[in-house]
Amino acid sequence: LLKRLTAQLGLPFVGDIKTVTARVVSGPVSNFDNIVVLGKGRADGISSGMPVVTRGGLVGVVSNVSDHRAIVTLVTDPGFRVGVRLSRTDQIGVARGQGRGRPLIIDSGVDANVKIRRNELVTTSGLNDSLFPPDVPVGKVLSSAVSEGDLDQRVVVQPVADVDALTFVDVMLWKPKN
Amino acid sequence: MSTSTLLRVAVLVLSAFVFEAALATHLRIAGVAIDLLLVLTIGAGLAGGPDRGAFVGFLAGVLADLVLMTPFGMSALTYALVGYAVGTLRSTSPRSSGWLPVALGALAGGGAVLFFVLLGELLGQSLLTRPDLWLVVLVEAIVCGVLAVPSARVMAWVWGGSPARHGALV
Repeated sequence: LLKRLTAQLGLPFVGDIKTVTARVVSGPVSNFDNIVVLGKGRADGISSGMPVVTRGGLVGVVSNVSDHRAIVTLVTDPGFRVGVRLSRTDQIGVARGQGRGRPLIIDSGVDANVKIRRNELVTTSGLNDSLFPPDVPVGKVLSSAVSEGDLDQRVVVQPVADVDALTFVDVMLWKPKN
Repeated sequence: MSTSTLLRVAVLVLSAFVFEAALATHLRIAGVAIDLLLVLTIGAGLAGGPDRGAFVGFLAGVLADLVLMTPFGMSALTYALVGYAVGTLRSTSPRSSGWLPVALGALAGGGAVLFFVLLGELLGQSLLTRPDLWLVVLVEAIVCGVLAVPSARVMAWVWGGSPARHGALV
C-alpha cells in the first residue's frame, strides 16, 4: 500500500498545478457503472470538473462531490469526452470512452492524410476553453483507419492508466477558465 | 401485509443494500459484481407470488437507483418486473418440480441483466458497450439460480409463515 502511495508522488506532468492524493474507497457498484468513489471531497478542496490522474496519466474527472467523498467518472465511460493532441503529428481531436474494458476512440479532428503510428502518445490538448490542462497523458495509439470518403480518420487509443486497478489517485486542483 | 412483516422486509432489503454497496468491489466472480438485491427479489417472487415479488423488487430497485449512475427508476422498474414475472411463473407452474426454482432463478438473473441493458439503450445509456456482457449475464444467471432457493426460504420467513401458506413452492 505504501509503495502504491509513494508511486503517486512527484507526478511528472502536473507542473505547478496543486494536487490532492486520495484513496479509492469504492469501485463501481454495478456491472455497468464507470465510476470510482474517492475518500476525499469538498473539504479537501476537490470540486466537480477537476481532472483525476495517476502516475500513468488521466483516469477521469470528478463528476460529483460531497464534503468527504468524490465520484470520479472514468475515461472509459461512454459519456466521457476529452480534447487530445497526438504528440508526434500534433493532430488535435476529441477522444471518447467506449465502455469498460474497451479502448478510447478519436473519430473526429485527425486528418485522414496524416500517417499515425502505433504507440504514438496521446495527451490532453489544453486548448482554450478545454476542460483539462494540457499535456496530461491519456493513452497510446493502438491503431488507426480511414473509411473511404471520410476527411477524418478513426484512431483507437489504449488508456495509459489502468482504471481497473486503482488504489490511490491524484485530483488536480485545476478548473477550466470558463 | 402487517407492520411487522413490512418492517422485516425493509430491514432485510436495507441490509442487503448496505452489504452490497459496501463490498461491491470485492463481491465479484470473474470480475462481475454479484447483485444481492436481485437475488432477494427473485426469492420474494418465488416465496410470495407476483404482488410481493414486485413490491420487494421495487423497494430493492429504488435503493439500487440511489447509488447507480443510470437514470433513477431503471433498476426499480427492472426489479419490480422481475419479481412479478418470477412470482407469476412460479404460481402457474406444477408444484412437483424441485429444479424449477433454480431454473427460474437463473432465467430471471440473466433476463434481468438483458432487460436492464435494453432499457438503458432505449434511454441512451450505451450499456451494450460492455464487451463481456455475455459473461455478466452468465454469472448473474448462475448466482441467481444457485441462491434462488435459499433466498426464497429467507423471504418465506420474512412473510411470517410457512412457504405453503403464501403460495411458495420451494
